[in-house]
Formats: sequence, C-alpha cells, structure tokens
Amino acid sequence: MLHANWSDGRLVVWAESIRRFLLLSDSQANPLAPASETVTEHPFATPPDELRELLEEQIPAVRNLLGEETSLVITLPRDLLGPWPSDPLANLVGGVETGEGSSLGEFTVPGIAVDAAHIASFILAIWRVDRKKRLELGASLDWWRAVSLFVLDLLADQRFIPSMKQDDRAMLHASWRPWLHDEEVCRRLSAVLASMPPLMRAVQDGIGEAAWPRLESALAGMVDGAIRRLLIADDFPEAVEDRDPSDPHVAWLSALLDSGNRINQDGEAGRALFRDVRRWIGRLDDVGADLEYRLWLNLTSPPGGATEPWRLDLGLHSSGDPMQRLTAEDVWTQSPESLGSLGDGSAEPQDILVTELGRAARLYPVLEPLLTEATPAGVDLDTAKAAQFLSEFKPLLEEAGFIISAPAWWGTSDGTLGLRLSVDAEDLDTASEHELSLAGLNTMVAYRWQVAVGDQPISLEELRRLSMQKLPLVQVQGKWVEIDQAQVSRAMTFLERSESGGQEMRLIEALRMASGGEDEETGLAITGLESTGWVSDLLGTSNGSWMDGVTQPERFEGELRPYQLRGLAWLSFLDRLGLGGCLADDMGLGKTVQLIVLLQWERIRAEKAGQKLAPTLLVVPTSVTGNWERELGRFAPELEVYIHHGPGRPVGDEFAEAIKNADVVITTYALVSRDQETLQNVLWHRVVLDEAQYIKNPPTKQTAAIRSLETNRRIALTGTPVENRLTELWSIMEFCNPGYLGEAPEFRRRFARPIERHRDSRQADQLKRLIQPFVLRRLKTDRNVISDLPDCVETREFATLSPEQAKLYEQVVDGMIGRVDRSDGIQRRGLILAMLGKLKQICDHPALAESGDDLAHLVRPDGSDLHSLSSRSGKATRLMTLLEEVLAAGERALVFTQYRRMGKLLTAMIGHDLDTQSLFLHGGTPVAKRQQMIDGFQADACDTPVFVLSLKAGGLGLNLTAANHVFHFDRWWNPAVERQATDRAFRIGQSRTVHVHKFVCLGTLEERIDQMIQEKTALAENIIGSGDDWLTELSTGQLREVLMLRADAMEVEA
Amino acid sequence: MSRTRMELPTPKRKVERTSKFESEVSELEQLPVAGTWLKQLREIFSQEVMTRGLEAAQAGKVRRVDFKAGSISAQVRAEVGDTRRMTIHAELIPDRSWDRVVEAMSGEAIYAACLLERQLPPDLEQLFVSQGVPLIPAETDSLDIQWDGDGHPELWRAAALGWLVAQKLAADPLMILEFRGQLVPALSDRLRQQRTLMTRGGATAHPDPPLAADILTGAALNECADRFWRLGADFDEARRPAVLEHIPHALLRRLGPSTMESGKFPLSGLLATIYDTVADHARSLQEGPSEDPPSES
Repeated sequence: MLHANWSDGRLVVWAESIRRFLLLSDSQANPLAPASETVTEHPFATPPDELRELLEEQIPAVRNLLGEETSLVITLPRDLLGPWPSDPLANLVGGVETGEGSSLGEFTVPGIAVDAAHIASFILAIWRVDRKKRLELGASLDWWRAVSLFVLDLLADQRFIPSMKQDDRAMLHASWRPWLHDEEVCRRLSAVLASMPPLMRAVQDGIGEAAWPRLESALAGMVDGAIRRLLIADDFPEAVEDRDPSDPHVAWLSALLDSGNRINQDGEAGRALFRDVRRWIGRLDDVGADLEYRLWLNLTSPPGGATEPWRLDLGLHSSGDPMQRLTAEDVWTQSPESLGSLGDGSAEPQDILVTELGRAARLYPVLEPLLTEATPAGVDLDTAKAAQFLSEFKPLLEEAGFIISAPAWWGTSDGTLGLRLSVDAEDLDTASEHELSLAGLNTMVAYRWQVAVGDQPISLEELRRLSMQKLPLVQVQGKWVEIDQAQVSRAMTFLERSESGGQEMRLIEALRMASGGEDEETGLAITGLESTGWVSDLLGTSNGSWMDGVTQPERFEGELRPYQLRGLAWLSFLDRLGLGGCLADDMGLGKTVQLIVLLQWERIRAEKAGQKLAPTLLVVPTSVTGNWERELGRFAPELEVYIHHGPGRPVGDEFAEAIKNADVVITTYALVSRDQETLQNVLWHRVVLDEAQYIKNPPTKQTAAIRSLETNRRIALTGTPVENRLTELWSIMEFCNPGYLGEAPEFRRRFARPIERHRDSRQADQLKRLIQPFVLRRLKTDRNVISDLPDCVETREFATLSPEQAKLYEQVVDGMIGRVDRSDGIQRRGLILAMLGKLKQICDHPALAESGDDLAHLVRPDGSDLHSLSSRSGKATRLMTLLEEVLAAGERALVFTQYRRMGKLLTAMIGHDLDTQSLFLHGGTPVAKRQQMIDGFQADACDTPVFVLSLKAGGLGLNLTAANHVFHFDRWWNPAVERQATDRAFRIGQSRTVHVHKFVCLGTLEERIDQMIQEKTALAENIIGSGDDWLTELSTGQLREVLMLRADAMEVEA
Repeated sequence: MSRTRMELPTPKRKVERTSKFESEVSELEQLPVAGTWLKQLREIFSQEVMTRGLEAAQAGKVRRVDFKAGSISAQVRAEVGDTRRMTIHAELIPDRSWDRVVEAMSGEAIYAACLLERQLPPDLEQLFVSQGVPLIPAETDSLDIQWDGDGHPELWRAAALGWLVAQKLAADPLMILEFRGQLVPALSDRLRQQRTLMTRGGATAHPDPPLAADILTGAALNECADRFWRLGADFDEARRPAVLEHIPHALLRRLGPSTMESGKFPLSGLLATIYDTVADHARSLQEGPSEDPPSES
C-alpha cells in the first residue's frame, strides 16, 4: 500500500506491506510502549530496497526518478499493539479491529526520495499504469496526482513568477514561485488544500501540522524544481555568463537559472534588490480588489457603421451590484458628496478612477494618453484596435481585476461566421430498409453547406467579398462579425471542394460533421444542422416516428414496461439501418429483457417474410451464462438456445452442425478467443456482447477475436456510463460500428486526452453528440423511467461455480453422503447440517471451506491472491460486476451474508477490485461503532458506498435508506428473514426504487431450494420458517437429489 | 493576507467645510512639526502678510480645507470682496528616499510603535533630515503657492491657509507624512517588512495567496484518526482545471518592465523566452508519452 509525503523539499514514497502486516497479526506481536515515550520503527513498513524493486518492476518509467533511500518520522494513529493499518490496507485484508489504548504515536518509516523536479513525472507515471499487481495506492497518491496536475496546469498556463526570499541568516535566495492569486486558480488551490489527507501533515520535520505551510512548500518546491531543471538542461545559465554581476537583473537571474539559488548581493545592495523585486511583483497585486468600485471599460461599436470610430469609455462599476455603474462624466462632474454611496467613503471616486486608470494603462498602453488629461473620459479606437482590444487585451485586463463590457454580439454565434449543414433523407420504409441495412454507415446521404452569421445565411460570393476586406471585424447585413482570415480561406477551399465533389456524402461523414467537429477541415465551426427523414430520426431531432409500429411480440412471456418498449424500438430502428448500438441502461432497468425481445421480434419478422435467420451469437462473462439461458427460457421459450462451452464442445464442422437450428448461441469471452477459428467461420445474424466493458482493452487477443466475428449487426450491453470511460467507449463503439470514432491513436489525441486530462468541455460535448445516435442510456431517475418502475424490483442473479468451488462441492457431497447414509438419529442430523453449512460456504467462496478464522487463512500471507480472490467465486465475480455499476451510477448498496468470514472477504474484494472502501457490520461490532457506521453511510458526503452486513447483526432495526440496492449474497431460505433485511433500505424515507438482487449458484442446492420456493411446492412449506432443519428429514436419495451438483453448475473453459 | 504596497499612493483626501484658527501662536511655535511649519512660512511670507493671514484665519475666512498628498487647498474669503481658492503645493518625497527613511526608522522600534498608535515619534524631523529629506520642505522654492483667478496673488490668503494648517498639524502631526506622500498605515507596513529584512527573520518578495483562514491549518491530528488516511472535502474540485482563458505572457505583461533603475540586462526578454519554454515542456508532460502503453489484459 503506497503512500507519499512531502518533507525536506522532496517527496518521500513509502509503503505498508500486506505480508508483514498479516504476519504481525498472526504472531500477536507484543504491545508497544505507550505512545508518548519513544519513536518506534514502523513494524510493517516495506523496506526501501524491496520498495524500489517493486516500483521498478511494476512501473518501469519511474526507474530513473527514484532517488536515495531515506526515512521519515510520522505521527500515526495507533493502539497498544502498534500503528493502525491505513484504511485501504485494512479493507484489503477484510477489516481490522482496532484495539485498546487508541492514540497517536511517532513511527519511523523507511522510504525512497523523489526530487521535487521529478514529482509530477513520477506521480503521473504511476497513474498511467492501468493495473498494478502487488501495488495498491493509498489516498495520498490520489492527492499527489491532483497536486501534480495543478502544478502542470500552472506551468503550462505560465502562472509562475520569479521571486526571492530572505532566509533566517539574512541571505537572499532566488526562486520560481507559482502565482496563486487569481480568482479561478485560488479556488482550485483552496480545494487542493481542503482535500489534503491528514497523513500529509503528520511528518515530524519542522514544517508543523498546519496544512498550508506544507502545501505551500510542496508547490513552491515542485514549481522551482521543475523550472530550474528545465532551464539548466536548455543551457539558459549561459545567457547571463560574463555579464556584469553588479547589475541587479544579472544577480537575480544568475540565481534563478542555475542549481544554486543564492543571490550574491549582500548588505545594502541586497536589501535594495529585495525591495526592488518586491515593488515589481507588487504590480501583480490587484490593489482594487477590496474597493467596492472597479474601473470599468466599456467598448461600443460605432453606431453609424464602419466609417466611424469605436468608443472605449471609462467609468466605475460596483463590485457587488452589477447594475450600479458611473460614467466618467458622473465621476468628474458630480461632487464627492453626491457620489457618497461609493464604498465606505475611504476612497474618493475620482481617486479610484485615476489610480486604476494608471494601472490599466500599464497593461493597455492605448490608455496612456488619457493620463495627461485633467478629466479623462474615454478614447476612440479604429476597427483594428477595437478587434485587438477584444481579442487580446480584454481577457488580460479582466484577469487584472478590471470590468470590461464588450458589444453584446462579441463571443456569440451572432458575432461569428459558421457553417450550417443540411442532410436530407427519405422516411424509412420497408423498400429502403434492405438497402440501408447492408450499407450501414456507408449509406450515401444528400447534403448541402451554407455559410451563416447566426441564423442568417450568406452567399459564398459575400464571403469572398468579406475576406478581401482584410479586417478582423466586418459588418455583414448590418451586424458586426469577427473574421479570422485564415479560417475563412480554409472554409472557402472546403466549400469549393464540396461543391465540386457532388452533393452526397457517406452517413459516417455526415454524422461526424453533424457533431460539430472537424474545424480543421471545414475552416469554420459548424454552428447548425438541419436534417430530414430517417437521418433526423437517427440524430434524435425528429418527433420519434421510428417508434411507430413496434409493439410487444405476442410470444413474449412477460410484459414490457413502456421504456423497455422504447428500447426495443430503438434497437430495431438501428437494426433496420444496419447500424450497431450500445444499450447502456442503468442496472435494474432490464437490458437483458430488451435484448431478448429484440431477438424474438426479428425472428417473428423474418418468419413473416419467409426468411430463416442465422443464429445470434451472445458473448457473455462466464458467471452469467446460466443467467442468460434461464432468462431466454423464461421470456422467449420458443427460441432455440445453444450453449457453447465445456471440454467436449464441438469445433469446426461439428459446431456448424450443432448450431444449425439454433436461434441463439451463448458463449463466453474467453472462448471467443480460444475458439476463434470455429466462431469466425460462421456468418452470424448478429453478435451481442453482454457486459461489453470486458473489451475495454483494445490490444488484447480477446478483443481482436471478437472483432473478427463475421456479422452485419452488433449490439453491446453495458450498465456502466461509457461516456465517462473513454477507452471503454472507443472499444465498444469500434465493436458496434467499426471505424466510426476513427483509429485509436486519433481518438486519444482528439478526445481522450483533452477530456480526461484537461476536462475539455468542448471536446466532451462534441463526443457526446457523436455517440448520441448509437448509445441509449436511461437512468432510474429519468422522469420517463421512474413512473414506469415499481417501488421494489427483485432480481435473481444466477452464478456458476468456479472450477475450484465445483471440485470442493463434489468432494464434500461425495465424502459425506455415504457417512450420512451409514448414520442415523442425532448423528445423521448433525452430519447433514454440517454438510449443508459447508456446501453453502463453498457456494459463497472456496476460501470459506479452509480451516482457521484469522486473516492469514483468508488472504495468503504474501497478499498476492488479492488479485484472484473474487475470481475464485462465481458469485463474487458477479457481485463485483454489479457493484461496479452501482458505484459508477453514484449509488449505494447493502450486501448481506450469513458468514462473518465472508463479510471480511467481501470487504477485501471490494477494496481491491473496486478501489472502494466499504463498511462491515457484524455481531462483534461495538454499539458505538455501529451507530458511527450507520451515520457515515447515511450522510450526504459518504466515501463508503457499500455496506456489508452479517444477516443476523444487520438484518433488523437499522435504517439504511441511503442504499437503493440490496444484495443477498447467500440465502437464508426464509423469505421473511430476507425481507426484513431488505427493509433496511426499503422503508419510510426511501424515495427511489429499491433493487433487490438474490444470488443463486446454478446447479447446486441453492438453485434447487430456490426453485422449490418459487414453485411453492409442498416441500417449500416445510422450508419456509424452519431454517435448514427440514433437510435433515429427507431420505438419503432425496438428499442426494437436492445436493448433487448438476453439470451446468460449473464454469468450464478448457 | 499581506499585500505589497501600491505603486501609486492613494492618500485620503480630507475636506473640512469651515475652520477657524483658535490656537495660541506661541504654543504652536514650540511644538514639533507645527512649529517647524510656521517657521518655514515665516521664511516665505513677510511679517505683514503673516499677520493679515492670522487675522483672516481667526475670523473664519478660511473654508473647505482640502488636504491631499502634495497639496493643501482651501477657499479664502476677503473682508470685502471675492473668495479665492488657494493651494500650497509641496514636492512628494521620492520613493527611494522613503526607502532610506524606512530603513533608518526600522532601526528603532519606537518609530513603529508610535506610528501604530498614530502618535508622533520623537525626533522624527531630525530623522528625516539625517536622510537628506526634510519632512517639512526647507527650501523656500520647494513650497509653491497657487490660486485661482487672475491678478495679484494676495499672499495673505495663502498665509491664512498656512496658519490653519499649523493648527491641524498641532492636533495631528502625522498628517505631514501624508502631505509628503505616505499614508501612515502604508508606512507602518513598509516598516514591518523592513524590520523583518533587517532582523534575521525570513521574508519573501511575493505575497501569500488570499486563502480562507479556516482551511489554512486543518483540524488537529488527534481529532482526525477516523479520516487520517482519507481525502478531505472538495477533492473533485481539486482535480478540476481552472477555467482560465490562456493569455500568453499574462503575468509578464501585468508586471511590465522591470522597475530596477540600475538593471541593464534585458530581463523581460529573457523571461518571455523562459515562460514559453516552460509552458511547452509542461504541455508535453501533460500530453504524456506519444503512445499510451498497451494495457494489460
């Protein structure tokens, strides 16, 4: 578990070792001395040589950035046994109970230093590695990432200054400093400061506990270090070599450009230099910030047209009341008494105007002549100067605190040239469908371009005339418009080329253009779009005629909710156009049902047309193959389903023969890669990916194999908001509509980097428009959906056993059933109950079948199995997938289990797989702590969105309405008990639909008992309310029937 | 938050509607500052002019005294006749001279203590003289008399204003500092900074950013055990880039040319190159490697 602290002008990275912690827990180490007495070695910190090796192995890019080995003295929370593990470490090992005598204590931690100049590179390198085995990142690394990005933004935006400081011995040192005063920067700085984890302030190095001195030191060190290193590398020190050292500029620069920062000016010369620098930097200070009135510069366009000058008027503008303004004339002609409402009266309006004008003139020299006037009121500008003022000086003056008013059209579409695109298509009819569905994105559509100012079109001829004026601001049809000559020239070339290239383009090009991008190609921004026919439907600008005629098929064994019917209509609409789509509805809205009804709908349609469709290939995660099989059987029983898995699965011709009559073939992601040759020899009617985020890594063999499948129709299902995960988004869209988002490197350059690294809202909007026709995502909170949803939705989540689970399960049944058969009475009942408990635990996780109750038995001592912990259990794998969707939607969940050890494991898995801390409440949780957990979970700002509870301890009396998902990880078989647990979230105070997920292991006793309860068999009457006792009354034959593992229970890949 | 001093002083302007000279002349002559002021007036004006001026001041003929940096003006009415606006101008003490004065004052804590209490420090005038800048202009031609309207100057009106100023200086001798271009609070601030420089305390040439006091320190560590390892509030905001329009060399342009008179090396030019070099490098770091490394499957 990696942490990082700032100390002594550098970053020190250090780590807690999971292995050492577990060993220590096992050995029940001797209590430490009371907190105040000594500084103690941290008992489970990773030794620096081990840490270096780990970092270099996991993140090769940091190899040259790691400095010397060092150590820190840090104050940490502790009890009598030693320092507490960090929260994420405690989570990874399933939670840790803190002991008696909680306090703070000082510990020495060994670490590795990273030079201030390299911190940003080091931190970003860590975060650029996707998944780091054997290395977990503490929250401090999140914080350092935010700090590093902040520093890079400051440097990239040139928000730093040269400065100097005097040390305790009156010696002067030059330094590069971040300039943090401007409002927007200061807001971000405040957030960085407020989000600093307390750990950052706990280093005992003389800086103290306060937050700002430490952040200030870190920012200053990083900025100075990064700039100085760069300047030295670029030979900047040569610029002042052999210059007069008594020149104060040279003295200062010499210490700014080189590695030594000492300024060689002492005594009076040094003090004079310091005063000069301070005075110069003081010019940055917004001295008017505290005044109630600011200097106001108001530019107005010439009323009589281009032949008249523009007018820049001076005045005063209230800082607090935007309506309160004084013209210069008011200021000069009215007496100070009549302007008495200005501020607190400490500064006269005339003084403010003159003083601030002096400051503004320094930034905008055009104002300088006004300073020679007795009562300055304003200045006339020609058109070129007015354009320069608007584009260049307005932002500069605004940044310095002045209030600038520009003409209303400036910066709006009314004041800029743009291109409008019209795309025309017919309404969709059966006749055109076939042709369209074959061409897909390559369908040709009619289009035309038009240059426009706002909504007003202008001719190409007029554009030519405007470009010949060579002015940055021109009048078009009486409106002033900003013109960039280079853009206009490119636009004219583009339009001439478009006209000569005919009036049709491919759909893919039209959609890209319609998203508003491609400025580089079109010259001018695309500011409007008109479309007709099915293109309008696709772009979502029509009245939704694509919904017409889509109804729920009669054969569907269920009832679609209205939004699900809309989902079917959308999927079928894309299908008719030959386009792929991604159904990304929120979890619980029924993506599975919508896909099943589509499969049914298209087959009924084909039947009516006398056609026979090839099968649809459904690629799913291993853990949900059984789930799909059951749901298909339940809602569309007429569909022939073929499951392609297992060691004896057919390949080649044998496979083709096996699927001859199938409507749906279900297989897993892993098998698509292994049986690529077999699967790609079939021309599939459609390929569907469930949990499509599985193909998020484009370079993998598995993703390539999936893309190689032959089909014209593709659908991806995912519950995660793909628009926020750009690698996933590209990968999924590349599957749905190959080539639409361009090649991966181009996509990274155009969208992923600007959006993820710089939060470029323009690019984000453009990408959203680009994918909008192909992604349907409804949230449970959408107005149209919420009215369709019942208050509580219950779903069974079917999971398969992992091979390890299946083997253990069979061993237990085989080993014990004979013993049961040979025993009777109490002994028999005891054996059955023991067996039952063991099997239920195996269905949860194979680790529960292992003996021992301590952490070391649940998590292997080297911590390495944390990465495979969830994959050892089918249920756990499924839970992690579902929880990921819950977290991505910003929702909260309760997870109930009967077993305390399972709760620990779940906490560990959630910590590792989802990088999320969870709460765990069980019978041993003290009452005070219990309430603290509940309060924390219910609070608005909650950083533990998953609450694991043991059914006995958490099933009654708690109010946990902040959750709208309830997971029953294992079953009690008594609906009343489960309902009571569900009611922790589904109760008064709950304002959302509660989704209850009941986990069932396929082919095991869990499924059989679940079926009995569902079918309300006579046996079920005995089950309900009697716990597991009823099983002890069964004959050995009946018992074998209930417990025996069915073949489809196990996930088999080999 | 500390602030650096403004480039242009913005002294308060004090306007009083009516004033009457009511002091004992002999007492005023004994006082520091006010006494020196009168002494200088007697150097400028004849005894006759001073006497007539005194009579006018005592009769309340001086109205609307306006006190500013570098000038004092008022409307002075004749016994019979018109009212004229009279102004006494004095040169402002140059900034570099103030630096010397501040450095000299910082040697003795009494100056700072008195200024903070708005009391006259002992020997203030001598201190100014020792630095070559008399607090009250010593040369006759360093005080300039102006009046509105045409015709004879009628110096008695200026003398009347001078008497009233002497009375005001007796009440608040530190007004003379403002007359010479330095507000008392600003002088105290400069004195504080200079004292830090002179002593062995650290000091910086740049101000601290204006952060809210409540986030500067953070809660005591022993109150943070339950969130010791966790991120604090506002983390999402911390990751959000500031929405700033990029203006090339914005800070350099706001700084303007260096104010160091003896600096000959082209500082701004080199800094401009440095700013561009650093920004380019930071952008390339933000972009990261040209190709993202392939993710592990």
